[in-house]
Amino acid sequence: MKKGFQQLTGVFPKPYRMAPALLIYLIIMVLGMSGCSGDSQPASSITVAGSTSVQPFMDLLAEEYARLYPDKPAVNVQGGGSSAGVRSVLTGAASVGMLSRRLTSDEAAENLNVIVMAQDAIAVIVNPQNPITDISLEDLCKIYTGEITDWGQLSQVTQGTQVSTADSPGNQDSQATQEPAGQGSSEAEEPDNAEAPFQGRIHVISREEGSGTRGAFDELVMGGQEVTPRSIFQDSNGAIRQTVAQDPMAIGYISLGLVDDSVKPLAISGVAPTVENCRSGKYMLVRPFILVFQHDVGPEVRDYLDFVTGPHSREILSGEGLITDGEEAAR
Amino acid sequence: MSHSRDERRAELVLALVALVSVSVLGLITVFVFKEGLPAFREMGLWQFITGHRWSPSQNAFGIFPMLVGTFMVTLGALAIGMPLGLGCAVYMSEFSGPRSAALLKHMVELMAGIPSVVFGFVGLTVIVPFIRTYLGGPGFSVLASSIVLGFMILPTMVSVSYDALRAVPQAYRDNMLALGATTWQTVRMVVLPSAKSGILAAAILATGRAIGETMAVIMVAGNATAVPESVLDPVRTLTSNIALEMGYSAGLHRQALFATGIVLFVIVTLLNLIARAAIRGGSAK
Repeated sequence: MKKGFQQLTGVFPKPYRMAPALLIYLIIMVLGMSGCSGDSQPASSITVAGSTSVQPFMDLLAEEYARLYPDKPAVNVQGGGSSAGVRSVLTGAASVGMLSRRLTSDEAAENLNVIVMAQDAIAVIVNPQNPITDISLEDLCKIYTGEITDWGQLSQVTQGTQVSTADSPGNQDSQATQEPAGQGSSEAEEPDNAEAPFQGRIHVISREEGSGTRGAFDELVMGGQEVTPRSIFQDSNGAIRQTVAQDPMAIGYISLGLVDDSVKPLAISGVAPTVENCRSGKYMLVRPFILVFQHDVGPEVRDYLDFVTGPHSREILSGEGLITDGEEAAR
Repeated sequence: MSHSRDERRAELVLALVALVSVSVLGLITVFVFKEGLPAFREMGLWQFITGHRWSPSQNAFGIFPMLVGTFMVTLGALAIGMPLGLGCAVYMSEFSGPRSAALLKHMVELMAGIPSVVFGFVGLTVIVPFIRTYLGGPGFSVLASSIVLGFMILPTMVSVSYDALRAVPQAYRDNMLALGATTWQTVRMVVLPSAKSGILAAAILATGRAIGETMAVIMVAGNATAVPESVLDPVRTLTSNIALEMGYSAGLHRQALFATGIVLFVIVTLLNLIARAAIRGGSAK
């Protein structure tokens, strides 16, 4: 910027000599701007953009699509978040938008085609060293509003109860990780022993405003109340998982399909976050994965969407811990 | 004559190039103000700057916590980066031999080339857990951001103040040494006071760098929207506020983020003007 200023002052004392350059410059600018309003050209690849919660699953499907149908156009999957997904479909930057929440009324008014790709659960996660295995929805809400700030204040501290999470992928080792001692991931925090109640300031970790996971959490847990501004805000599922895995005092929430054995998912009021409990409707923190697209998309995009909603994709997605059955593809 | 025609053509092309580089600044300014000013109109400048609550879903847009956050983090970065950078520059300029000075200069320049996400990653995996373990709190904090930024502003701090120190005439030093002063006394009584305005400029440019840094800060600051009560509390800066939420925003939220950009733009421009005044003040002496 500084150099720019110097050039400016260096050049301006000779305004007449600059006139031709100025003229050419203006012509280029005008031409350039008129070029901007042109239509977006048909792409040789399909661009899918949106929720970072849906992204890893869409990546899998795109890879499988490329493997099965090498002749069809490549699928390019981008993140950006649910809201950005809708916006990029509206602006034509992407053919298909991914959302990990329901459409807002504004978005629904845009009259896009909507497909429910799968259902996903939000898992509330804590560090494996945390003895708590179960939390009520009210307590969870109070933690996120900032009303409860210490682990010792929790009304339902159920210690030693094992949560069965065998159905969710990557959780095969959850029983092993529930043993509090010898994890070694934090040196300073005192090791938990069964007698001493778990105490300490809760480190609340949330997603940033506008994220689909955050939107679904706000709707399902907060019920219109605000997340405390003292919360730590991270901008991806992975960042929250990593933070919770490192911090014994942390609590966070991520997509159930992305839970691995570095963190411990909590049961909500006694209901463990398993695929079965989600399917039967017992586990309450469930949100849809939605795809949106314009009515006039080309046949190659329709082909891909047919693949995404087809039986093979459903098999892949349910293998990854999503809930694909029961829900009809709603137009 | 073809010679003068060539001359004329070269001037034309170069003037064009100059215009293009300046026009980027112009375009950014126009764009940011055009997108952001409606937000000021909507909620009032004062309300926007002094509001304590930032909750876009509830239509609450107050950037006061972020202003305080930016201020605290920048001050912390200067507290760490300035003594280190100045010390390094003084050593390079006054104490070390020419070969080790050249080596140090190369290494500092190399440091300027490290991507900010790498600084952020080191902060995330080393500094944040360290603070959480030994000092308490969640680790994501004003302190963590200050440390990371303190190292990121080192190259600016070192190279600009090194140039300022080198610009002090050698005769000053020679006179002091001839009077029997030690090197340290020379540095303290003559060289540093003479280079004062250049060092000030270095500090201001480093401040601009610290205020503008985004990626590394997002990774280690925790991004809470409350005013931090201690250096161990999480914090959000103006830049991270924009980067964190811009991808999702729409409508008034988006305008508020651009308005955040205007506030940042004004702060950084003011800093640049002050730095230029400081440099001019120094060269006038």
